[in-house]
Amino acid sequence: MATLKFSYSDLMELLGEEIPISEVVESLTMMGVPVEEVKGDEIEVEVFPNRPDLLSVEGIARALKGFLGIETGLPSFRVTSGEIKVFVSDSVKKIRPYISCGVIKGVDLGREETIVSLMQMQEKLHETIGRRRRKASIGIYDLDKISPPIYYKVVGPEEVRFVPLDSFEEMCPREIIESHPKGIEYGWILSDLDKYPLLVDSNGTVLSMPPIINSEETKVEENTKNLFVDVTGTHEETVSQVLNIVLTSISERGGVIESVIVRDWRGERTSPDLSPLKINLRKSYVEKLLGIELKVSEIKSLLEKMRLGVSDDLSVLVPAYRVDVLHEIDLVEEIAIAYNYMKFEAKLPEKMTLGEEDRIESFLDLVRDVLIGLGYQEVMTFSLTNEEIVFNKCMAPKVKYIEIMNPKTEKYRIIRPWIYPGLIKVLSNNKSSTFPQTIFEVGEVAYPDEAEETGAKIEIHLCAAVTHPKAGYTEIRSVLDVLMREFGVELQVRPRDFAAFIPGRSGEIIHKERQVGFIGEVHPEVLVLMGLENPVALFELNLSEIFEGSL
Amino acid sequence: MEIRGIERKLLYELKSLKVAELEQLSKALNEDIASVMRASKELENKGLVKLHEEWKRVITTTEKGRKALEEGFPEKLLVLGILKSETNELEKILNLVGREANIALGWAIRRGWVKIEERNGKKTVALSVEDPRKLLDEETEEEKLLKFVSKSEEVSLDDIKSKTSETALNNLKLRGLISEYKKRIWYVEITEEGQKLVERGIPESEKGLSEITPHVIKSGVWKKIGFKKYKVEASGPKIYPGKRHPLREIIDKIRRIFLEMGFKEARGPIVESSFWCFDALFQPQDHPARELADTFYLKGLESKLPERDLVEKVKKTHENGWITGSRGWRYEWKEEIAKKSVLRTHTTAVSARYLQKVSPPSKVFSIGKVYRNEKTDWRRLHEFFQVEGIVVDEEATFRDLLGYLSTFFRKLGFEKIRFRPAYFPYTEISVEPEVYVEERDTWLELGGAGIFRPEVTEPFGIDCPVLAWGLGLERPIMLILGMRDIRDFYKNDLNWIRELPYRILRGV
Repeated sequence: MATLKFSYSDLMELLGEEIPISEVVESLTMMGVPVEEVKGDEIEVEVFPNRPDLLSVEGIARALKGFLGIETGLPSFRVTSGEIKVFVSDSVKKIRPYISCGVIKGVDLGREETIVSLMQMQEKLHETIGRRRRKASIGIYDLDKISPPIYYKVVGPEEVRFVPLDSFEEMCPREIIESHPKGIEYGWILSDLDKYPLLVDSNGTVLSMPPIINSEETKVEENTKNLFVDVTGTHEETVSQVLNIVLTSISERGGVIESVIVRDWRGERTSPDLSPLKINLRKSYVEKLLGIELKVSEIKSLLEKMRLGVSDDLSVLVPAYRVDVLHEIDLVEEIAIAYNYMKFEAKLPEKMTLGEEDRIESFLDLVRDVLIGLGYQEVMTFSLTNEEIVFNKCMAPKVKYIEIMNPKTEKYRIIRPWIYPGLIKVLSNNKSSTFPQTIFEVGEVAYPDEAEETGAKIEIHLCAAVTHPKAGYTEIRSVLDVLMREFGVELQVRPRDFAAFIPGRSGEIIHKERQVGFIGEVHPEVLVLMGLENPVALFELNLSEIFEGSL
Repeated sequence: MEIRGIERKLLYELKSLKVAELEQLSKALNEDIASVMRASKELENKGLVKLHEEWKRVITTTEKGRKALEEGFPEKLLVLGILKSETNELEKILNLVGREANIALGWAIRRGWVKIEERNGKKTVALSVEDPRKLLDEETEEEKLLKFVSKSEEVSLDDIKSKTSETALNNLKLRGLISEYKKRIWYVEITEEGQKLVERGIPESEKGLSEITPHVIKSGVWKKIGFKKYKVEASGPKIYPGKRHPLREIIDKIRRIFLEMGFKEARGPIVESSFWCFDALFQPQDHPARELADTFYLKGLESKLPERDLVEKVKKTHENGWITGSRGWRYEWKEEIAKKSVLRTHTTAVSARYLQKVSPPSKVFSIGKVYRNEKTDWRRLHEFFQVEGIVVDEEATFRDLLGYLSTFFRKLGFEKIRFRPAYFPYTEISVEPEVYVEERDTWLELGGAGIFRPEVTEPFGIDCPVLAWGLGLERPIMLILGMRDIRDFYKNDLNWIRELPYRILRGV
């Protein structure tokens, strides 16, 4: 979840109007930018991943101006054509193939908020749409410290030396990857490569080593007036989208965007391309989905509130920084937001449909009823567990089980193949509760099985357990017998020893010549390992197997 | 409060003693230890006495010790042997003393009672005390101690230490005449309340039959003796009914709400292919939610993809929008990523599967476990329940979605509801319903909802709106039950579950 912090007063400055903070909070929320916290002058909002253009206070202000009616319709950005050339070497194709650049002149970075916002926007864009800089990363430089043309190429690990941003000594790319904090943080993106991307000017001055770090020599300072911006990455469209967001956001505070000429193996093009996307909207589509009637003029003004350009025939222009609009449906949501969700009158259709329980679920419910009737308390335990508890402590029968590839903790490393270890754990957590304790759980277990669509066989198991100073086999056996009777199934118990049970006091439960579970008195060794002081008797039964036919 | 036979005697015994060892009480009351223990526990439950334990070192006489007392200590037997015998040849004397002769000699020498001399190559033994008779009559310290210890079954080490020297004690232990071990001693102490009760006087239990048995009924003995009275004001021992787990109670409530609203219930697997969990829901393959940091992937498991035609359509929709009118995500969609098996991250996967076979109008819901690769803490769980509903209907609109949501949340017990814009990759128009929580004076987000994007529905051949919503269950249930820690659901603390009344669970 991306969040953004900015000051209320800075936002007002950008709006050019004074709006009470409570109204700002309300409007932001209903515009789709929920406010997380207001602390004095500081506002923290959540920005949804589809709107990277709102990852700066400038972007927020631009949208809010529309929503509040201060300035509506398609924002216009003047782009003058510039002469600066960027030459892209073929060698970047396999390393980090795409680059888009632009210039913005006449900016004022004198105010602290401006610099803070610029840095925050860069960081947030990297984290979200840039996918931690892998897909797209941004470099911003003081244009006046650069001598164009600019070259985007690759270099060997020790081929060049430059002072990385906020450092004092020259380092080569290999040293940066190995020991610079940013190199350590983002080096994974360039791992397995023997050459690294580099931006360098005609004097050989290094601008940056994307996507890791800029150079100290070309860095932006308070008195910087003209900026050169590059975005490099692995997805061409994302690269140009990010550039558009950065340039248009900066220009909200003034300055003129100037295009550059990028020349790569496909030829020459000018960058940035800020031309809007055109989508035709059908009035009937809007009305059908929203369930309200709207005049064309209403649709027009609602869309304009969302900073979209609309002609009278509902041909809609989407500004170049809006990366979320893929389909006509996205414009319908824009209309709904502008209309205000709270103004929609909720209704229920009169059409009749029949409710129907799932057969398995209603059967499981019946199983619960029977056990509850016997005084058994339902428990619910996690379906993720670990080998230690299942096999070492509870000595469960060895079966193939499913391991999680990327567990965050040792505690939850596998999907349970049995549920009884969970119940023994529950009993050991309840040593101070009144005895007798009779508990059960109906839950899912899983095993690897290549024949299954997902590679996993899921079964529903029932486990019932009883513990008190005199608990024993016959008591739990009676419960099993009740189940057989109530559900009319034939089960036999054949003597069989399991590590988890006392030898001679356990058996496998057989249904139609197949083993469908086990029953017995838990072995004292298991009890001691699990810290239990009273005897436990239990059974575990594979309900899926028994009732497959009838379900 | 009824105080039965032994309990009553016990209290009177403790009236002056205040505190006593269990064994001591057993002797005094002439009852076996187990009965006194049981009575003490009963009284402890009634708050009249307190039991505590202490570990004590105790000493007991060994078999060898008892023999030494009966037959005399070997060194004394040696002195006696020398006195009685006519020879003083060592060998003969030793033969006379018998089995423990060497031990006897050792101790006798150590005590200075005898000495060994060598004459003409022969060893002789001679008494070196003036009055051997007196020596035989007088008890050594060891003998005194052993006698004392042997008088009772065991003696506390503390009691002995004041009465004898360390040397004597050690000598006896060394000679294996006594043994020392640790023993748990139970103490019964009368409480203030118990003391007050005895001082007031405890009435003897009245005469009468305590139990009514088949024999009593048949024999008519009750006509003569009658029955003892019960104290009917007292509560019975605590018992508990079997119940559904609190979470299940609310799950059932939600099932009922959906069934009442005319929804069909569906189920889906907890292990799911990435295809159904993400791709079919138009989540691009590099979407952050699909990363290892958020989703549990399963070692060695691979899913099969559904029929070719559907896969192709989903692929094209991701890549360029196919014929949905969308621009798509414009990247190269890969089958092997869609084949990765995961623990499903949302029940929307069940809805996606359902879209394969649905024809409008149709309303479906499902409730099930979902998994997120998160560290569990008081707010978050790595596995939790989610409920999901979809409405597939030609005439469904955004207003109907708001209608279903309001009705659903109202039936769940939330009166004040508001809707605000949100974002989910598979819905557009997206909305987050929020309920007002009075105690915290705040709006709480309760899940997400929206209309499925055409990019989701059209590959299934569905061209009518599909309304969808889902919510995590534990959080609203925490609100209903006033819980603070989400992990409490899975702790299964029987005290909590047993004491949580149905009235609160069912909101009646």
